[in-house]
Amino acid sequence: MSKKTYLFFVIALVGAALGLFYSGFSTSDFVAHLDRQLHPVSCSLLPGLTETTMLEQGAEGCKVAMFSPYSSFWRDRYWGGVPWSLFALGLFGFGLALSLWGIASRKGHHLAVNIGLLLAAIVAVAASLTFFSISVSKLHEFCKTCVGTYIASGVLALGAALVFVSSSGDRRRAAAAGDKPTGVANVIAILVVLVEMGLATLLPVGLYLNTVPDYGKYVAECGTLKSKEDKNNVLIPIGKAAAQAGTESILVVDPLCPACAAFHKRIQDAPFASKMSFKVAILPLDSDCNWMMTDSMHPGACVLAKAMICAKDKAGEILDWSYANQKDFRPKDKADNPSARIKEAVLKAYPQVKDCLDSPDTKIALNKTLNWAVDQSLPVLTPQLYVNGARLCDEDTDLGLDFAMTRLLGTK
Amino acid sequence: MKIAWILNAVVMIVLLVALGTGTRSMVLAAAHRLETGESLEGQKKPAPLIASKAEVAYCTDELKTVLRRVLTNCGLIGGGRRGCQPNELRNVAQISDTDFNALFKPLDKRAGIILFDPEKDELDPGAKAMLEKAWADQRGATYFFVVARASTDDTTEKNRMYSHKRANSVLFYLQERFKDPELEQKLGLLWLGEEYAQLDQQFCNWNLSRSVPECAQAQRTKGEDTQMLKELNRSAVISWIDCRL
Repeated sequence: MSKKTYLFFVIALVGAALGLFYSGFSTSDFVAHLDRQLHPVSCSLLPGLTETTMLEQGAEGCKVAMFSPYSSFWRDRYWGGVPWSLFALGLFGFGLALSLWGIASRKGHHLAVNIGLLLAAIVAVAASLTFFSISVSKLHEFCKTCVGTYIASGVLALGAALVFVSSSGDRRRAAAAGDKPTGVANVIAILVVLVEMGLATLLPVGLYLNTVPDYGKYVAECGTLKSKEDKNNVLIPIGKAAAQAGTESILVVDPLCPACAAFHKRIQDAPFASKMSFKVAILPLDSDCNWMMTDSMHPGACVLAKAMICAKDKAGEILDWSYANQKDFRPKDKADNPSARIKEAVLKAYPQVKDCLDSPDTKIALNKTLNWAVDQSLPVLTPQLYVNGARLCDEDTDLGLDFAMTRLLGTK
Repeated sequence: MKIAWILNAVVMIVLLVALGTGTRSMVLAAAHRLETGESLEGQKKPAPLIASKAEVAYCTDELKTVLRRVLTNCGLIGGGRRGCQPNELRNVAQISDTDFNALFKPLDKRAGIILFDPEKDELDPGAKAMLEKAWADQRGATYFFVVARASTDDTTEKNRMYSHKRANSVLFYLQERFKDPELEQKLGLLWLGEEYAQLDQQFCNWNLSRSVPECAQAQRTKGEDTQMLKELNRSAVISWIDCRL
């Protein structure tokens, strides 16, 4: 094996090691969340050196990527699904082991090694391109750790391609010196390498599936509504009338809560949404109307809640409009109370609610909604989802959503 | 070549063992935390606040005890007939007139006083507006108290009748205006006549349904004005009570 090939093997080895490093952190971050808690994530090109908490802006890309449906598959069968990064872990591990072996055994120029390394690199690059295009087109965010994996794939591919080209000369020289494996030996060697690649890639997944706990018992332990009765008609139906035939689902939301906007969108976009009919219980986390709040978490939410009540069948539209304008409706500083600004915006966008917005009847209606929450002993937090009376656990609103919803909807 | 393949097997076995144990240990650690509720960061998640009725600072044990007695004996708790008459209230509340009024003084920001004309029980527009606003501002309260009174202008019997009619005016207006099927369970009605718990000058500072010129006059002269007291007591005090009773 020539020195050039050695050098190219080192490039492939570095690429594989980097890929193992980044995919290891991605996998570790994902698997840490299997305890249904929120944890800091390693969102950096130097993971391990800088840890980013969930709330930091820098973690946004990794958070979005990890919680997106593209980070794993079989989410309806397994809590969180099976992370794609597990395959990457195995694949880069295989690339690293093969490169190491090629260098140590000096047999790296053999066709089987070249093919195995190139195939691993091609799969890694193809996967990187796929996830990169998802980041651009679907997530509109970049996860730094994932970018590290894309770079590693590129380095591995470069190394593997150079090894492949350089090894053909080595093989010719070895053949001339009498070291030429037979066709059968080559085929067997290629098969062995491919089996090794399959084993390395699938073993972590197999062990993962074998080890993940049974989450079924946790899904149903977050309580139920005390009564499904809505005697004061406080729940507001939203969505298309045709969809009202599905399993009754109650969303407890605050129009100014960012988590509600994200959760609501996720639920509406999910495949199981077609099996649900939605009603909204407004729970503004604003002390202006909500006596349970000592401080307003979302000042001005009471105005939007009243606007929804006034809008009747257009309540869903106002809720979507509120979600879309949340950034403008946030307080500009600690002293700012955006209620007046929000009221002005509401009246501009929905002038038909003008006479109703501050009427005693609207205030009473909102109060009845809040008292519905009291009667049901609901936690004072948003968002919440009740499916046929059973509460979706807060811990299952991200990675475990598909798994939990499949069970709450009784489709599993 | 043989050695090379042995080396290959060793490298691959090491890789598979490392991948296997690494994956398994990560999942098992998460499973352990899931089972035990332990946190990686060592922080316990605080229990969420549960939605509940209001309980504000003025809800002293004394106030709650009196209110419970009144509510139980005047038909709001446990069903039965509704309303309490003045001669019953003294026994029911088991409290003196002065103490009874003092108990309600912390409600000065929450309550309102609806004023009536002499020998009348009709609500004027200001009274209706105040009543609507007050009723709509239930928030986390369970009970709405209406404590009607009469001045000392007429005979005790007549004053008792005026007081009763004033309490009913409030009740009927709320029934007609809001058509709330649960109104009966929320509204505590007391009519006190002239002989129990007359309001004093301090109540001039409360939210009144119309202005009382004698209140301003009395404040200027720092004296008690009989006319002012009569005006203040031809009234009904209305308020939601933000206490869990």
